[in-house]
Amino acid sequence: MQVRKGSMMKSIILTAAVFVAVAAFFPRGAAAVGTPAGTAIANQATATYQDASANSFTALSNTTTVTVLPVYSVVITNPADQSVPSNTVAYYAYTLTNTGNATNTFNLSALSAPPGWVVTLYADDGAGGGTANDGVHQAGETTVIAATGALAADATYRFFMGVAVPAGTANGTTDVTTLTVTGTGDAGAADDTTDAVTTTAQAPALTVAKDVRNVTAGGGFGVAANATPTQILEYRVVVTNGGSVAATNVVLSDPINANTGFIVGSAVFNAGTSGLTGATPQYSNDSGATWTYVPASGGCAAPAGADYCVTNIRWTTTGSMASGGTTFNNLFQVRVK
Amino acid sequence: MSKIKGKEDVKMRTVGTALAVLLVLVAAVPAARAQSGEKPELVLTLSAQKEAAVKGPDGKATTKWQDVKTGNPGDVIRYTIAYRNGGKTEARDATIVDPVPKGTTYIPGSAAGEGAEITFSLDGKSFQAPPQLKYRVRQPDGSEAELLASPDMYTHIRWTLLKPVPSGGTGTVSFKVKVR
Repeated sequence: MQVRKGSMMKSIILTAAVFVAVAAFFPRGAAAVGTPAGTAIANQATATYQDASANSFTALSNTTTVTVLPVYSVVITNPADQSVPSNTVAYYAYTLTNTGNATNTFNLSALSAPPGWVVTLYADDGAGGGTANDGVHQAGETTVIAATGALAADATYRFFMGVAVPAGTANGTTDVTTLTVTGTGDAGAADDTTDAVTTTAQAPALTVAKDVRNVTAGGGFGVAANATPTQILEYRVVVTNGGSVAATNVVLSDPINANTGFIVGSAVFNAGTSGLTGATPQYSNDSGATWTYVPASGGCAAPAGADYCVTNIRWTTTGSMASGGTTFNNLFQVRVK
Repeated sequence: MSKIKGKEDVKMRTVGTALAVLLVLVAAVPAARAQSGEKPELVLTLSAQKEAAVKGPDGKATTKWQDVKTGNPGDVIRYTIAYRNGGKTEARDATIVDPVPKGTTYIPGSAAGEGAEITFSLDGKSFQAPPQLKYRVRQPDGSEAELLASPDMYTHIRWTLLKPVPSGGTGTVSFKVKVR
Protein backbone atom coordinates (compact mmCIF):
# COMPACT_ATOMS: atom_id res chain seq x y z
CA MET A 1 0.00 0.00 0.00
CA GLN A 2 2.79 2.39 0.88
CA VAL A 3 4.48 1.85 -2.45
CA ARG A 4 1.28 2.43 -4.31
CA LYS A 5 0.60 5.61 -2.45
CA GLY A 6 4.04 6.84 -3.31
CA SER A 7 3.65 6.20 -7.01
CA MET A 8 0.27 7.92 -7.04
CA MET A 9 1.75 11.02 -5.48
CA LYS A 10 4.48 11.02 -8.06
CA SER A 11 2.03 10.98 -10.92
CA ILE A 12 0.03 13.81 -9.36
CA ILE A 13 3.12 15.96 -9.01
CA LEU A 14 4.07 15.23 -12.59
CA THR A 15 0.64 16.23 -13.83
CA ALA A 16 0.76 19.43 -11.84
CA ALA A 17 4.12 20.34 -13.31
CA VAL A 18 2.84 19.87 -16.85
CA PHE A 19 -0.22 21.95 -16.12
CA VAL A 20 1.88 24.76 -14.75
CA ALA A 21 3.96 24.75 -17.88
CA VAL A 22 0.91 24.86 -20.14
CA ALA A 23 -0.82 27.51 -18.06
CA ALA A 24 2.28 29.66 -18.24
CA PHE A 25 2.13 29.66 -22.02
CA PHE A 26 -1.52 30.11 -22.78
CA PRO A 27 -2.18 33.52 -21.18
CA ARG A 28 0.44 35.01 -23.45
CA GLY A 29 -1.73 34.97 -26.56
CA ALA A 30 -5.20 34.45 -25.13
CA ALA A 31 -6.11 37.98 -24.02
CA ALA A 32 -8.60 39.65 -26.35
CA VAL A 33 -7.30 43.12 -25.66
CA GLY A 34 -3.78 44.38 -25.68
CA THR A 35 -1.56 44.91 -22.71
CA PRO A 36 -3.38 47.20 -20.24
CA ALA A 37 -2.68 50.90 -20.61
CA GLY A 38 -0.08 52.07 -18.12
CA THR A 39 1.76 48.76 -18.04
CA ALA A 40 5.51 49.32 -17.79
CA ILE A 41 7.40 46.97 -20.08
CA ALA A 42 10.78 46.70 -18.42
CA ASN A 43 13.83 45.00 -19.88
CA GLN A 44 17.37 44.35 -18.66
CA ALA A 45 20.07 42.26 -20.33
CA THR A 46 22.67 40.19 -18.51
CA ALA A 47 26.15 39.19 -19.70
CA THR A 48 28.35 36.50 -18.20
CA TYR A 49 31.98 36.07 -19.18
CA GLN A 50 35.32 34.88 -17.93
CA ASP A 51 38.84 36.12 -17.74
CA ALA A 52 41.98 34.18 -18.71
CA SER A 53 42.01 32.48 -15.32
CA ALA A 54 38.41 31.23 -15.77
CA ASN A 55 37.08 33.66 -13.18
CA SER A 56 33.44 34.35 -14.00
CA PHE A 57 31.86 37.77 -14.08
CA THR A 58 28.36 39.06 -14.56
CA ALA A 59 27.32 42.41 -15.99
CA LEU A 60 23.86 43.92 -16.04
CA SER A 61 22.67 46.47 -18.55
CA ASN A 62 20.60 49.50 -17.77
CA THR A 63 16.87 48.89 -17.57
CA THR A 64 14.62 50.26 -20.27
CA THR A 65 10.98 50.91 -19.59
CA VAL A 66 8.31 51.32 -22.24
CA THR A 67 4.93 52.38 -20.89
CA VAL A 68 1.89 51.12 -22.78
CA LEU A 69 -0.40 53.89 -23.97
CA PRO A 70 -4.20 53.63 -23.92
CA VAL A 71 -5.86 52.36 -27.08
CA TYR A 72 -9.61 52.79 -27.44
CA SER A 73 -11.85 50.52 -29.46
CA VAL A 74 -15.24 48.86 -29.20
CA VAL A 75 -17.17 45.96 -30.69
CA ILE A 76 -20.90 45.32 -30.57
CA THR A 77 -22.87 42.29 -31.63
CA ASN A 78 -25.26 42.51 -34.57
CA PRO A 79 -28.60 41.01 -33.60
CA ALA A 80 -30.83 39.64 -36.35
CA ASP A 81 -33.74 41.62 -37.71
CA GLN A 82 -37.08 40.87 -36.11
CA SER A 83 -40.72 40.65 -37.14
CA VAL A 84 -43.15 41.25 -34.29
CA PRO A 85 -46.91 41.79 -34.05
CA SER A 86 -48.24 45.31 -34.01
CA ASN A 87 -48.67 46.79 -30.54
CA THR A 88 -45.67 44.84 -29.19
CA VAL A 89 -42.00 45.70 -28.68
CA ALA A 90 -39.11 44.07 -30.54
CA TYR A 91 -36.20 43.73 -28.10
CA TYR A 92 -32.77 43.55 -29.72
CA ALA A 93 -30.15 42.10 -27.36
CA TYR A 94 -26.76 43.74 -27.70
CA THR A 95 -23.40 42.90 -26.16
CA LEU A 96 -20.84 45.69 -26.19
CA THR A 97 -17.20 44.77 -25.58
CA ASN A 98 -14.54 47.30 -24.64
CA THR A 99 -11.82 45.97 -26.94
CA GLY A 100 -9.41 48.74 -25.97
CA ASN A 101 -6.76 48.36 -23.31
CA ALA A 102 -8.07 51.05 -20.99
CA THR A 103 -11.26 51.75 -19.08
CA ASN A 104 -13.80 53.55 -21.25
CA THR A 105 -17.38 54.80 -21.05
CA PHE A 106 -19.66 54.42 -24.08
CA ASN A 107 -22.65 56.64 -24.76
CA LEU A 108 -25.59 54.85 -26.35
CA SER A 109 -28.33 56.32 -28.49
CA ALA A 110 -30.86 54.94 -30.93
CA LEU A 111 -32.84 56.51 -33.73
CA SER A 112 -35.75 55.11 -35.70
CA ALA A 113 -36.02 56.06 -39.33
CA PRO A 114 -39.49 56.93 -40.67
CA PRO A 115 -42.08 55.83 -39.72
CA GLY A 116 -40.27 56.76 -36.53
CA TRP A 117 -41.37 54.14 -34.03
CA VAL A 118 -40.48 54.71 -30.39
CA VAL A 119 -37.04 53.31 -29.52
CA THR A 120 -35.79 52.86 -25.96
CA LEU A 121 -32.58 51.34 -24.59
CA TYR A 122 -32.90 49.11 -21.53
CA ALA A 123 -30.27 47.60 -19.26
CA ASP A 124 -30.05 43.80 -19.18
CA ASP A 125 -29.98 44.14 -15.39
CA GLY A 126 -32.36 41.38 -14.37
CA ALA A 127 -34.63 43.91 -12.64
CA GLY A 128 -37.93 42.54 -11.45
CA GLY A 129 -36.60 39.09 -10.67
CA GLY A 130 -35.11 38.25 -14.06
CA THR A 131 -31.60 37.08 -14.84
CA ALA A 132 -29.07 39.82 -15.48
CA ASN A 133 -26.94 39.77 -18.63
CA ASP A 134 -28.69 36.81 -20.19
CA GLY A 135 -29.67 38.53 -23.44
CA VAL A 136 -33.32 37.73 -22.81
CA HIS A 137 -35.58 40.68 -22.08
CA GLN A 138 -37.86 40.19 -19.13
CA ALA A 139 -40.89 42.28 -18.31
CA GLY A 140 -39.20 43.77 -15.24
CA GLU A 141 -36.17 45.02 -17.16
CA THR A 142 -37.33 48.59 -17.64
CA THR A 143 -34.23 50.54 -16.57
CA VAL A 144 -33.70 53.07 -19.34
CA ILE A 145 -30.04 53.68 -20.14
CA ALA A 146 -28.01 56.12 -22.23
CA ALA A 147 -24.45 54.97 -21.45
CA THR A 148 -22.57 51.86 -20.36
CA GLY A 149 -20.87 53.45 -17.38
CA ALA A 150 -17.15 52.93 -16.86
CA LEU A 151 -16.19 49.67 -18.55
CA ALA A 152 -12.81 48.07 -17.89
CA ALA A 153 -10.69 46.79 -20.74
CA ASP A 154 -12.11 43.57 -22.17
CA ALA A 155 -15.30 43.99 -20.10
CA THR A 156 -18.72 43.59 -21.70
CA TYR A 157 -22.01 45.41 -21.23
CA ARG A 158 -25.33 43.90 -22.24
CA PHE A 159 -28.45 45.86 -23.04
CA PHE A 160 -31.58 45.87 -25.18
CA MET A 161 -32.84 48.16 -27.86
CA GLY A 162 -36.64 48.10 -27.69
CA VAL A 163 -38.45 49.09 -30.89
CA ALA A 164 -42.18 49.57 -30.20
CA VAL A 165 -44.45 48.74 -33.13
CA PRO A 166 -47.55 50.97 -32.76
CA ALA A 167 -50.97 49.41 -32.44
CA GLY A 168 -52.78 49.07 -35.73
CA THR A 169 -49.63 49.06 -37.85
CA ALA A 170 -50.32 47.34 -41.13
CA ASN A 171 -48.83 43.94 -41.77
CA GLY A 172 -45.38 44.17 -43.40
CA THR A 173 -44.62 47.77 -42.41
CA THR A 174 -40.87 48.12 -41.75
CA ASP A 175 -38.73 50.44 -39.63
CA VAL A 176 -34.96 50.79 -39.66
CA THR A 177 -33.48 51.60 -36.26
CA THR A 178 -29.87 52.63 -35.84
CA LEU A 179 -27.94 52.17 -32.61
CA THR A 180 -25.01 54.53 -32.15
CA VAL A 181 -22.18 53.80 -29.72
CA THR A 182 -19.87 56.69 -28.93
CA GLY A 183 -16.84 56.05 -26.74
CA THR A 184 -15.75 58.89 -24.51
CA GLY A 185 -12.13 57.72 -24.27
CA ASP A 186 -11.09 58.74 -27.74
CA ALA A 187 -11.98 62.04 -29.37
CA GLY A 188 -11.91 60.28 -32.75
CA ALA A 189 -14.04 57.47 -34.06
CA ALA A 190 -11.78 54.62 -32.95
CA ASP A 191 -14.17 53.71 -30.15
CA ASP A 192 -17.41 54.53 -31.97
CA THR A 193 -19.65 52.10 -33.84
CA THR A 194 -23.21 51.66 -35.10
CA ASP A 195 -25.64 48.89 -35.89
CA ALA A 196 -28.90 49.03 -37.81
CA VAL A 197 -31.79 46.59 -37.52
CA THR A 198 -35.00 46.35 -39.50
CA THR A 199 -38.20 45.66 -37.63
CA THR A 200 -41.19 44.35 -39.57
CA ALA A 201 -44.72 44.70 -38.21
CA GLN A 202 -46.84 41.63 -38.16
CA ALA A 203 -50.64 41.92 -38.28
CA PRO A 204 -53.57 39.86 -39.42
CA ALA A 205 -54.75 40.99 -42.84
CA LEU A 206 -58.32 39.87 -43.52
CA THR A 207 -59.92 40.05 -46.92
CA VAL A 208 -63.61 39.39 -47.54
CA ALA A 209 -65.08 38.04 -50.79
CA LYS A 210 -68.78 37.62 -51.32
CA ASP A 211 -70.61 35.70 -54.04
CA VAL A 212 -74.11 34.46 -54.68
CA ARG A 213 -76.13 31.70 -56.35
CA ASN A 214 -79.77 31.27 -57.26
CA VAL A 215 -80.97 28.30 -55.20
CA THR A 216 -84.41 28.11 -56.88
CA ALA A 217 -83.13 28.20 -60.46
CA GLY A 218 -80.00 26.18 -59.61
CA GLY A 219 -76.42 27.04 -60.59
CA GLY A 220 -73.08 27.75 -59.00
CA PHE A 221 -71.77 30.70 -57.05
CA GLY A 222 -70.72 33.78 -58.99
CA VAL A 223 -70.24 37.45 -58.46
CA ALA A 224 -73.75 38.03 -59.89
CA ALA A 225 -76.94 36.03 -60.27
CA ASN A 226 -80.29 36.73 -61.90
CA ALA A 227 -83.45 36.19 -59.92
CA THR A 228 -87.15 36.87 -60.09
CA PRO A 229 -89.39 37.67 -57.11
CA THR A 230 -90.06 34.77 -54.70
CA GLN A 231 -86.83 32.99 -55.75
CA ILE A 232 -84.31 32.02 -53.08
CA LEU A 233 -80.72 33.34 -53.25
CA GLU A 234 -77.79 32.05 -51.20
CA TYR A 235 -74.92 34.35 -50.31
CA ARG A 236 -71.44 33.04 -49.47
CA VAL A 237 -68.92 35.23 -47.66
CA VAL A 238 -65.31 33.95 -47.72
CA VAL A 239 -62.86 35.51 -45.24
CA THR A 240 -59.08 35.02 -45.77
CA ASN A 241 -56.29 35.92 -43.30
CA GLY A 242 -53.38 36.77 -45.57
CA GLY A 243 -51.46 38.41 -42.69
CA SER A 244 -48.50 37.04 -40.78
CA VAL A 245 -50.18 36.55 -37.41
CA ALA A 246 -53.41 35.01 -36.23
CA ALA A 247 -56.60 37.03 -35.87
CA THR A 248 -58.88 36.75 -32.87
CA ASN A 249 -62.30 38.20 -32.09
CA VAL A 250 -63.18 38.07 -35.75
CA VAL A 251 -66.72 39.41 -36.30
CA LEU A 252 -68.31 39.39 -39.74
CA SER A 253 -71.45 41.42 -40.31
CA ASP A 254 -73.57 41.76 -43.43
CA PRO A 255 -76.72 43.81 -44.16
CA ILE A 256 -79.72 42.09 -45.69
CA ASN A 257 -80.71 43.82 -48.91
CA ALA A 258 -84.07 45.62 -48.47
CA ASN A 259 -85.45 43.88 -51.56
CA THR A 260 -84.90 40.49 -49.95
CA GLY A 261 -85.96 38.75 -46.77
CA PHE A 262 -83.87 36.51 -44.55
CA ILE A 263 -84.73 32.82 -44.61
CA VAL A 264 -85.07 31.69 -41.01
CA GLY A 265 -82.44 29.12 -40.01
CA SER A 266 -80.37 29.49 -43.17
CA ALA A 267 -77.20 30.88 -41.54
CA VAL A 268 -74.30 28.42 -41.77
CA PHE A 269 -70.71 28.79 -40.53
CA ASN A 270 -67.91 26.71 -42.06
CA ALA A 271 -64.61 26.97 -40.15
CA GLY A 272 -62.64 25.86 -43.24
CA THR A 273 -58.88 26.05 -42.67
CA SER A 274 -59.15 28.98 -40.24
CA GLY A 275 -58.82 27.04 -37.02
CA LEU A 276 -61.77 28.96 -35.55
CA THR A 277 -63.73 26.90 -33.05
CA GLY A 278 -67.18 28.23 -33.89
CA ALA A 279 -69.39 31.18 -34.72
CA THR A 280 -72.66 32.38 -33.31
CA PRO A 281 -75.05 34.12 -35.72
CA GLN A 282 -76.84 37.17 -34.36
CA TYR A 283 -79.55 39.29 -35.91
CA SER A 284 -80.60 42.90 -35.88
CA ASN A 285 -83.99 44.38 -36.79
CA ASP A 286 -82.79 47.99 -36.40
CA SER A 287 -79.93 48.22 -38.93
CA GLY A 288 -77.32 47.01 -36.49
CA ALA A 289 -78.16 49.15 -33.43
CA THR A 290 -79.04 46.07 -31.40
CA TRP A 291 -78.31 42.39 -32.00
CA THR A 292 -80.94 40.73 -29.84
CA TYR A 293 -83.62 40.07 -32.46
CA VAL A 294 -84.66 36.46 -32.84
CA PRO A 295 -85.89 35.69 -36.39
CA ALA A 296 -89.30 34.05 -36.69
CA SER A 297 -91.13 32.62 -39.70
CA GLY A 298 -93.56 35.19 -41.12
CA GLY A 299 -91.98 38.09 -39.26
CA CYS A 300 -92.98 41.54 -40.54
CA ALA A 301 -95.66 40.02 -42.78
CA ALA A 302 -93.19 37.77 -44.60
CA PRO A 303 -94.25 34.53 -46.26
CA ALA A 304 -93.78 31.38 -44.22
CA GLY A 305 -90.03 30.52 -43.77
CA ALA A 306 -88.85 34.10 -44.21
CA ASP A 307 -88.53 37.04 -41.77
CA TYR A 308 -88.67 40.49 -43.31
CA CYS A 309 -87.83 42.12 -39.96
CA VAL A 310 -84.14 41.07 -40.17
CA THR A 311 -82.04 44.01 -41.39
CA ASN A 312 -78.53 42.68 -40.58
CA ILE A 313 -76.81 39.42 -39.77
CA ARG A 314 -73.46 38.93 -38.06
CA TRP A 315 -71.22 36.09 -36.93
CA THR A 316 -69.13 36.44 -33.79
CA THR A 317 -66.44 33.81 -34.07
CA THR A 318 -64.66 32.01 -31.26
CA GLY A 319 -61.05 30.89 -31.25
CA SER A 320 -58.15 32.15 -33.32
CA MET A 321 -57.94 32.47 -37.07
CA ALA A 322 -54.51 31.27 -38.19
CA SER A 323 -52.28 33.31 -40.50
CA GLY A 324 -50.93 32.25 -43.84
CA GLY A 325 -53.99 32.47 -46.05
CA THR A 326 -56.47 30.37 -44.07
CA THR A 327 -60.16 30.85 -44.80
CA PHE A 328 -63.58 30.40 -43.29
CA ASN A 329 -66.98 31.09 -44.88
CA ASN A 330 -70.53 31.90 -43.94
CA LEU A 331 -73.66 31.12 -45.90
CA PHE A 332 -77.17 32.55 -45.60
CA GLN A 333 -80.24 32.58 -47.78
CA VAL A 334 -82.74 35.30 -48.66
CA ARG A 335 -86.06 35.37 -50.54
CA VAL A 336 -86.43 37.96 -53.27
CA LYS A 337 -89.42 40.14 -52.36
CA MET B 1 17.77 7.63 -30.09
CA SER B 2 18.95 11.01 -31.23
CA LYS B 3 16.19 12.69 -29.22
CA ILE B 4 17.27 11.03 -26.00
CA LYS B 5 20.85 11.95 -26.69
CA GLY B 6 19.78 15.57 -27.14
CA LYS B 7 18.07 15.59 -23.79
CA GLU B 8 21.12 14.20 -22.08
CA ASP B 9 23.17 16.95 -23.59
CA VAL B 10 20.83 19.53 -22.14
CA LYS B 11 21.00 17.96 -18.74
CA MET B 12 24.76 17.89 -18.81
CA ARG B 13 24.90 21.52 -19.85
CA THR B 14 22.55 22.52 -17.06
CA VAL B 15 24.67 20.69 -14.56
CA GLY B 16 27.73 22.40 -15.98
CA THR B 17 26.15 25.84 -15.57
CA ALA B 18 25.19 25.10 -11.99
CA LEU B 19 28.75 24.05 -11.23
CA ALA B 20 30.07 27.21 -12.80
CA VAL B 21 27.80 29.33 -10.62
CA LEU B 22 29.04 27.51 -7.55
CA LEU B 23 32.61 28.11 -8.63
CA VAL B 24 31.89 31.81 -9.05
CA LEU B 25 30.48 32.02 -5.56
CA VAL B 26 33.36 30.20 -4.00
CA ALA B 27 36.33 31.31 -6.04
CA ALA B 28 35.56 34.36 -8.14
CA VAL B 29 35.41 36.98 -5.42
CA PRO B 30 38.90 36.54 -4.01
CA ALA B 31 40.34 36.00 -7.49
CA ALA B 32 38.80 39.25 -8.76
CA ARG B 33 40.23 41.12 -5.81
CA ALA B 34 43.68 39.70 -6.40
CA GLN B 35 43.72 40.77 -10.04
CA SER B 36 42.06 44.15 -9.54
CA GLY B 37 42.53 46.32 -12.61
CA GLU B 38 43.56 43.40 -14.77
CA LYS B 39 40.09 41.93 -15.33
CA PRO B 40 37.77 42.17 -18.32
CA GLU B 41 34.74 44.35 -17.78
CA LEU B 42 31.81 44.18 -20.17
CA VAL B 43 29.52 47.22 -20.13
CA LEU B 44 26.04 46.64 -21.56
CA THR B 45 23.87 49.46 -22.85
CA LEU B 46 20.30 48.49 -23.63
CA SER B 47 18.06 50.68 -25.73
CA ALA B 48 14.39 50.31 -26.68
CA GLN B 49 13.53 51.80 -30.02
CA LYS B 50 10.55 52.19 -32.29
CA GLU B 51 10.54 52.83 -36.00
CA ALA B 52 9.14 56.30 -36.59
CA ALA B 53 8.42 58.25 -39.75
CA VAL B 54 10.81 61.16 -40.12
CA LYS B 55 11.84 63.51 -42.89
CA GLY B 56 15.24 62.72 -44.27
CA PRO B 57 17.88 65.35 -45.12
CA ASP B 58 16.55 65.43 -48.67
CA GLY B 59 13.05 66.19 -47.40
CA LYS B 60 11.75 62.73 -48.31
CA ALA B 61 9.77 60.73 -45.81
CA THR B 62 11.75 57.89 -44.33
CA THR B 63 11.77 55.84 -41.17
CA LYS B 64 14.23 55.88 -38.33
CA TRP B 65 14.61 53.85 -35.16
CA GLN B 66 14.19 56.21 -32.24
CA ASP B 67 14.34 55.65 -28.49
CA VAL B 68 10.88 55.26 -26.97
CA LYS B 69 9.41 55.43 -23.53
CA THR B 70 5.80 54.68 -24.57
CA GLY B 71 4.14 52.26 -26.94
CA ASN B 72 0.77 51.05 -28.17
CA PRO B 73 -0.36 47.45 -28.33
CA GLY B 74 0.83 46.10 -31.67
CA ASP B 75 3.89 48.34 -31.80
CA VAL B 76 7.18 46.77 -32.80
CA ILE B 77 10.01 47.56 -30.38
CA ARG B 78 13.62 46.82 -31.18
CA TYR B 79 15.90 46.14 -28.24
CA THR B 80 19.57 46.70 -28.94
CA ILE B 81 22.26 45.63 -26.50
CA ALA B 82 25.58 47.36 -27.16
CA TYR B 83 28.50 45.82 -25.32
CA ARG B 84 31.99 47.13 -24.79
CA ASN B 85 34.85 45.57 -22.94
CA GLY B 86 36.02 48.43 -20.71
CA GLY B 87 38.47 46.18 -18.86
CA LYS B 88 42.15 45.55 -19.50
CA THR B 89 41.94 41.90 -20.50
CA GLU B 90 39.80 40.00 -22.93
CA ALA B 91 36.39 38.64 -21.94
CA ARG B 92 36.09 34.97 -22.76
CA ASP B 93 33.06 32.72 -23.21
CA ALA B 94 30.79 35.74 -23.03
CA THR B 95 27.06 35.17 -23.23
CA ILE B 96 24.35 37.81 -23.20
CA VAL B 97 20.88 36.86 -22.08
CA ASP B 98 17.83 39.09 -22.40
CA PRO B 99 14.34 38.07 -21.41
CA VAL B 100 11.51 38.76 -23.83
CA PRO B 101 9.81 41.42 -21.67
CA LYS B 102 6.43 40.70 -20.16
CA GLY B 103 3.68 42.24 -22.29
CA THR B 104 5.56 41.60 -25.51
CA THR B 105 6.01 38.76 -27.99
CA TYR B 106 9.23 37.90 -29.76
CA ILE B 107 9.10 38.52 -33.51
CA PRO B 108 10.34 35.38 -35.30
CA GLY B 109 13.70 35.75 -36.98
CA SER B 110 14.39 39.17 -35.52
CA ALA B 111 17.26 38.22 -33.20
CA ALA B 112 20.56 39.37 -34.66
CA GLY B 113 24.16 39.51 -33.50
CA GLU B 114 27.35 39.32 -35.51
CA GLY B 115 29.71 36.61 -34.35
CA ALA B 116 27.16 35.22 -31.93
CA GLU B 117 25.30 31.95 -31.77
CA ILE B 118 21.66 32.71 -30.98
CA THR B 119 19.57 30.32 -28.94
CA PHE B 120 16.21 30.59 -27.26
CA SER B 121 14.57 29.38 -24.10
CA LEU B 122 11.09 28.64 -22.89
CA ASP B 123 12.00 28.91 -19.22
CA GLY B 124 15.19 30.96 -18.99
CA LYS B 125 17.18 27.90 -17.96
CA SER B 126 17.85 25.70 -20.97
CA PHE B 127 18.60 27.28 -24.32
CA GLN B 128 18.22 25.66 -27.70
CA ALA B 129 18.19 26.59 -31.35
CA PRO B 130 14.53 26.84 -32.54
CA PRO B 131 14.20 23.38 -34.13
CA GLN B 132 15.02 21.73 -30.81
CA LEU B 133 12.71 23.92 -28.72
CA LYS B 134 9.97 21.64 -27.60
CA TYR B 135 7.56 21.52 -24.75
CA ARG B 136 5.38 18.78 -23.34
CA VAL B 137 1.66 18.79 -22.79
CA ARG B 138 -0.64 16.23 -21.31
CA GLN B 139 -3.32 15.31 -23.80
CA PRO B 140 -6.96 14.61 -22.92
CA ASP B 141 -6.31 10.86 -23.10
CA GLY B 142 -3.60 11.18 -20.45
CA SER B 143 -0.63 10.66 -22.75
CA GLU B 144 2.03 13.29 -23.12
CA ALA B 145 2.85 14.96 -26.40
CA GLU B 146 6.00 16.81 -27.34
CA LEU B 147 5.19 19.88 -29.39
CA LEU B 148 7.45 22.26 -31.22
CA ALA B 149 7.48 25.62 -29.50
CA SER B 150 6.32 28.60 -31.54
CA PRO B 151 8.35 31.83 -31.36
CA ASP B 152 5.65 33.59 -29.31
CA MET B 153 6.45 31.16 -26.50
CA TYR B 154 10.10 32.19 -26.24
CA THR B 155 10.88 33.74 -22.89
CA HIS B 156 14.60 34.40 -23.20
CA ILE B 157 17.15 34.97 -25.93
CA ARG B 158 20.85 34.14 -25.52
CA TRP B 159 23.75 35.30 -27.62
CA THR B 160 26.89 33.21 -27.20
CA LEU B 161 29.84 35.23 -28.50
CA LEU B 162 32.00 32.90 -30.53
CA LYS B 163 35.21 34.88 -30.02
CA PRO B 164 36.62 36.57 -26.92
CA VAL B 165 35.93 40.30 -26.66
CA PRO B 166 39.30 42.04 -26.52
CA SER B 167 39.93 44.98 -24.24
CA GLY B 168 38.16 47.93 -25.86
CA GLY B 169 36.23 45.63 -28.16
CA THR B 170 32.59 46.41 -28.94
CA GLY B 171 29.60 44.79 -30.55
CA THR B 172 25.83 44.82 -30.67
CA VAL B 173 23.10 42.26 -30.57
CA SER B 174 19.42 42.96 -31.04
CA PHE B 175 15.93 41.53 -31.30
CA LYS B 176 12.43 42.79 -31.93
CA VAL B 177 9.21 42.27 -30.04
CA LYS B 178 5.61 43.21 -30.58
CA VAL B 179 3.69 44.87 -27.75
CA ARG B 180 0.69 42.67 -26.94
